Amino acid sequence: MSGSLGRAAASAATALLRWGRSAGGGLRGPGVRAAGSGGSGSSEHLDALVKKDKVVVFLKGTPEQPQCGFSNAVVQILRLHGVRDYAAYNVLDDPQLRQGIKDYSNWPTIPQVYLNGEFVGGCDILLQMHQNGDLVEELKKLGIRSALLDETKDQDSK
Amino acid sequence: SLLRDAKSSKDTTKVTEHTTVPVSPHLPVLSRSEDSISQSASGREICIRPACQEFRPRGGTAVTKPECEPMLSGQLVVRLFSMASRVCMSRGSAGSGVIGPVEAAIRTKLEQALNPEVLELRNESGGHAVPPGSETHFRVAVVSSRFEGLSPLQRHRLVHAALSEELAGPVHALAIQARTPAQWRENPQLDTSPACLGGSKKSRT
Repeated sequence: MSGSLGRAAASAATALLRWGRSAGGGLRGPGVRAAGSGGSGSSEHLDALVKKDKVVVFLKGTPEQPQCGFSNAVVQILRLHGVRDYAAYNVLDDPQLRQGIKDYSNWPTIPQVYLNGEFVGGCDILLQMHQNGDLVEELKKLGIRSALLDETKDQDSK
Repeated sequence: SLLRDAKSSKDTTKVTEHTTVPVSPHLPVLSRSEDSISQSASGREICIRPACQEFRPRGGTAVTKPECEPMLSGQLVVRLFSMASRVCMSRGSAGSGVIGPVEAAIRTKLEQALNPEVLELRNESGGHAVPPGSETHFRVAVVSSRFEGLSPLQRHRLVHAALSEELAGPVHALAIQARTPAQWRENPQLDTSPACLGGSKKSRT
């Protein structure tokens, strides 16, 4: 069992991706993962993950290389809004994380989006929020100014 | 308008990163005439291949092929999906035209749980990296007055609850459009899903 915990620790570490930021910081060392508690899929661990950053997404693949069309849609929408600094976790790297986040969110599919520690939904909901303007508002509440607002401003001033 | 034509002139050096690749015969070229928003070079091929969705951040700033950007803005996010997915999507359930047991179960359970006015269900498994005849990826539009007053999240959770067995079992992906009757009348259409990017079967480079 200890062998697989070592692997779980390593794979959870690679699953943590800081896109647009320097890596490191916030990674748990292998020693933290004791048997039966604190695994990469545990609710304590996930609770910490979703609260650590304002925007947290669980994807199949990475923002640079999404491996699922729905996960890619989430990445593209965030890019459109100019959200660069977000935490992205690749569930394909870690089966414990993959199942754990489904249990934690009580949501059966990936991708999953968290804003300010709160579960927002999957790709469909994020797309809806993007289309109806809610996403701009939610980002504003987090102190993130959507790039689309600047676009509109540029258009208005022409 | 969500046009980014201001940026495309700056990105000339980055265009070489994504040389225009010949569009596969399967991929339709997006017609510029449909697109009232985009004003970049008309008639240019838009590469919507999965390879084009990969980009390399530089110094923390994401870059993309300039031609792709306008196509991703606003309503065109949805359009991008439908163009890309039409490529490998076959009509009918997973290409075979037969309604499988999972699809039938989904329909029955949603009818019972939500008493929908409209229920459009499509097996999209044919567009993904699964064997023919699979019933793993679905898209559903449910129109029900039971959604009145519920947030999108609450609506989706209702759908999940009705299909908990399928979702714990064979169904791997479920795209949901959950609308009230009034909302559906504004846009009575089952969207299409984005193109598959290989899932866990895609080999890593």
